[in-house]
Parts: sequence; structure tokens; C-alpha cells
Amino acid sequence: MSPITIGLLGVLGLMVIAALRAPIGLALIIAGFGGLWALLGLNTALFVVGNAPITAMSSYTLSVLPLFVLMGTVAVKGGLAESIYRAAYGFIGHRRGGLAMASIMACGGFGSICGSSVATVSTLGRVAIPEMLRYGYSKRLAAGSLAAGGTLGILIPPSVAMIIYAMVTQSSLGRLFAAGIIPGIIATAIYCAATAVWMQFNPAMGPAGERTPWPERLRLLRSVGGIAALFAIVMGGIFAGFFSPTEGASVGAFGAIVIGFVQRSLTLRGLFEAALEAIQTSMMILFAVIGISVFEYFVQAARVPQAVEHFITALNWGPTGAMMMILAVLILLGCFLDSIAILFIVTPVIYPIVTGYGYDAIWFGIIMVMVVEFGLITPPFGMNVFVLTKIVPGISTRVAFSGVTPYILADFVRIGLLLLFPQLVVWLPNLLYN
Amino acid sequence: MIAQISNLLSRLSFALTAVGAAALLYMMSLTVLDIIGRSLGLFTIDSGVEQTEVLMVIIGFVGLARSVQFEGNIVVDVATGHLAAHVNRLMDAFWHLVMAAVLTLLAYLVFRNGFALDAAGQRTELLGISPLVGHLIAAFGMIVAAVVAIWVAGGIFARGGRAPDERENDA
Repeated sequence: MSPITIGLLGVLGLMVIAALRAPIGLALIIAGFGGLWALLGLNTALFVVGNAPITAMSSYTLSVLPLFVLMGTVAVKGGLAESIYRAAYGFIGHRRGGLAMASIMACGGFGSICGSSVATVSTLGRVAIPEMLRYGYSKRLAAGSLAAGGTLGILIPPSVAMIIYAMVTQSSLGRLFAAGIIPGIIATAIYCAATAVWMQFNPAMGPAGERTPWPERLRLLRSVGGIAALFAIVMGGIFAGFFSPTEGASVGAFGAIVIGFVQRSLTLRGLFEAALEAIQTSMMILFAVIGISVFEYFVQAARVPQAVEHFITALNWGPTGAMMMILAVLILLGCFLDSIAILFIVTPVIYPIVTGYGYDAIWFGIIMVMVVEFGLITPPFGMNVFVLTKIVPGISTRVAFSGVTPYILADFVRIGLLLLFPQLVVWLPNLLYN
Repeated sequence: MIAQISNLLSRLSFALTAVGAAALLYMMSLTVLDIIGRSLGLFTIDSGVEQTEVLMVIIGFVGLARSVQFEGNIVVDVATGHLAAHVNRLMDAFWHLVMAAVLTLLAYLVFRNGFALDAAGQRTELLGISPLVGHLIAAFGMIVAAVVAIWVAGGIFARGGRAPDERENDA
């Protein structure tokens, strides 16, 4: 059997094992180990598998992951999401659909200190949805805006998905974070615009809330000053080269703890629980990191990316056609697979192809994160939608999925924009790092 | 007896995760202290990177048992989502057993490599830490996780794939 046949069988085997409910890290180890055994013999396979766990874990660069996760869990425990929501509500809650827009903006704001979509949705869902329902908002709008807004959590830095992409492709995490800022702002604006357009057609779905007087607005703005300062210090420090991403993550986690204690919303017990939760969340990804180190070795040894590249080149669709095909496959996978799983499974195969066609690795990283986040709100396995229906019992999955439809259309507009104007992604990292 | 073993494993996995949590908070404090010292021109923690690498091994493996216990790994249920809940639970039990086997193999290989590197005289540059330290922690974390995986799988098989509360309802 030729190496490439073994390689493709290995990738297929990985898909099958993963589809049969094997934990993704375990599936990667099994497929990688089996493939290496068939390709290079048992001794080499054992050598690679034996070295992978410690080599993958004892990495200074990787420490950025649990530290940013800690920043997010502390932010959740410290109730920082609520103050962001209150501030956003104060400014636009009195407009039609304003509470939905406030929820989206709060998701964007909370995404700047928490890198997880699910954490963003579950935290803000508890705060914002009861409020929207109280003001007579339709369940479709309430659920749709929150589920879609939650995806901003992995687009606006710090982002767990970007950390994984940087790890798998050895890209600069600082550049990726910088590249995520403008698309994150655009995404927030487009989601708010989608809500406003929706309200034009169906104003009864989102009645206006109470107007907040200006002194109160300023007080609410001050209450999120600490969070804004934390984001500015962490990201500013990383972009200015004053911190490495690991140091920035440490400062971010430490700052979130300080804000929590100063605001008296975080207790010592809460801090310990946040650290425990950070370990558990990180473990979910770190075990997959061990798996990917084995599987990536196998994929490279079997020259799978080169084979896929030859296949795509033979189709003669050119770089644009190839990119469209890759995006279509990613969107399709996003409907069925977890976004983190896609990043781990697909990136080692498609990254060399995309860069081989001359596309910018950072630009593609942002596009990939955006495309895989589609899966968080699209049927049949939209994780954000399931989380929402779990925490807000009155909302059915069908209603929530119908509520995200306008935002899915908005996503297509956004992705089209970034495909047509790549400068929107690469301008800021180039400005900061070149 | 079964309840005692279950309790013991639960406590052990919690204690290990708590060690990981403490390591994470220490890692954060270490880096922040280094930045403060460096910014004020007072001191730098030269061994910070080395310590972080060792702490990452602790964080990466001590939480594994609890992650297995609460089935906290990323799972894709594309092909199995439509099946009956107890069938999915039985499949989970099967993968727990596979996980236990893989973790045991990994623990053995890591343990063996640790001894080989230690015997070859390898040490970290500044603190002189033997690679055996990280390797032993990792192997221990994986062995505990393997035992927990077997225990969880056994529990699922014993209930015929039903969730614990289903069994109570039946009773």
C-alpha cells in the first residue's frame, strides 16, 4: 500500500472513529498511531506516541491557553457579563429591538475577556433573555440574537479557537489576535444592523425598553471601565510587544481577579471554582493537543496535504475556486462537527494547501474561525442554540433555530466582505507588526 | 465496597484537579510578578520559562481524571445522535475502556522515556530539574485517569447503559 493510500485511510479512519462518539483527542491518537504503525513500523509509532504527551504539554507557548481560559472563567464567576449588558442596555435599550442589540454588544464586550462562545452564551443568556421576555420580546428574537451574539466570543480576541489555530499552524498568536479585532467589530455592527432591519419588517417582535437618563448611562459606563481597561492593557501590551501572549494572558487573568475582588463580585471560593473550571475546560483541549501532535506527524509523513493539493490543482479551478471549495467543505463540516474538532482535524490537511496557493495564513485563520463558528448556530447541531434552550426552559430548539436565520444571512454578508476585502483582516496586524 | 471505591476515585480526581488549579494560579502569579519586577527594574525571574514548562505538564495531566469522570472531552455525535440514549451510553463506555488502554500505554511509554532521559543525565538548564519529575507526574495523572475511565465504563455497563437517575426511577 502506498504512503498516500495509508494517509487517506488514516484521515478517513479518524472521521469514522470521531463520528462514533470517540473523544476527539483519543480519535486523533488512535488514527495517528495506527497510521504511523502501517507507514513506518511499530517501533517508530511507539516512539512518536511515547514522546508526544510530554513534548506537547511542556510548552511555554501552550500555557497561554489555560491562562486565557482562567481569565474567562473568572470573568464569568465575577459577574462581569452583567455589568457589560447593563451598560449596553443603558445606551440602546430604549430603541426598538434595542435589548437584542444590547445583548449582541454585550456578547462582543464579554468576548473581549472570554474566549469561548458557549461561556458567552450561557453567561449572558441568563442575564439578557429573561429581561427581553419581560419587555415582551418574541422568543425568536431573544434566542436568535443571543445565540448569534455568542459566536462573537471566539472571534473577538482572546479566542480559544485562534489559540488552537496558532498552535496547529505555528502562526503568530499576536497577529491573529490583532487580525480578529476589525472583523469582530464588523460582526457586532452587522448583527446589530440585521436586528434593526428585522425590526423594520416586524416591529412588534422587539418593543422599545425604558430610556435610561444620561447620568445613569455615565455611571453604567464607568462600571465597565475596568473591563475596558483590562482589554486595552492585555491586547495593547501584546500588540506593543511589551508582553508575550502568555504574559498578556497572565495579566488578563490577574486583572479579572482584581476587578472581581474590587467589585466584591468574586470571593475566594469563587476564584478556586473558576480555577477548577479553567483546568477542566483546558483539559478538554489539551488532550486533543496531545492527539494532534501524533496525528499531524502521521499526516506529514504520509504527505496527505500534498495529495489533496494535487487533487485540487488537477481540478484546475484556480486559487479562488479552491478557496470556495474549502470554505464550502468547512461550512458543511461546521453543521455537523464541533468547531474545535474541525480546527484540530482539518487544519493540518488544508493549511499547507491554502498557504501553497499564496493566501495569507493570518487572513485564512480568521476566515476559518468565522466559518467554523457558523456551526455553532446552524442546524442540526448548533451548540449555542442547545445551550440557550437548556438554560432558558421556555424556548424550544425550533424557535431558536428560526430566530438565528437573519443572523446567518448576516454572516454570509460578513464573510463575503472579508473575502472581497482581505485588508479588513490583515491591515491591523500588518500595521502593528510590520 | 463499591461506594467506597467510587468515593475514593472521586476524591482523588478532585484532589488532582485542585493541584492543577493551584498550579495554574501559581503560574499566573509567577508571570505577573516577573512582569512587575522587570517593569520596575527590580528583578527578573530567570527560571520563569522553565517553571512554566514544568507547571504545564502538571496542569496538562492532573486534570485528566476529572475530565474523564465527567466525560468532559469533545465528542462528535453525527452518526449516533439519533440512536437511543442507552446505546450511546454503551458506546461511551466502550470508548472509556479504549481510553483506559491508550492512557495506560502512554503512561508506560512516558514513564520509560523519563527514566531513559534521567539516566542520560538530562536536566533543565537553570533549575537542574530532572525530566523524571514531569514524566512521573504525567504518568501518574494518566494512570489515575485510566482507572477512573474503567470505573466509569463499569458503572455504565452495570446499569445497562441507563443513566443513574433512570435506575433510581425504575427502583
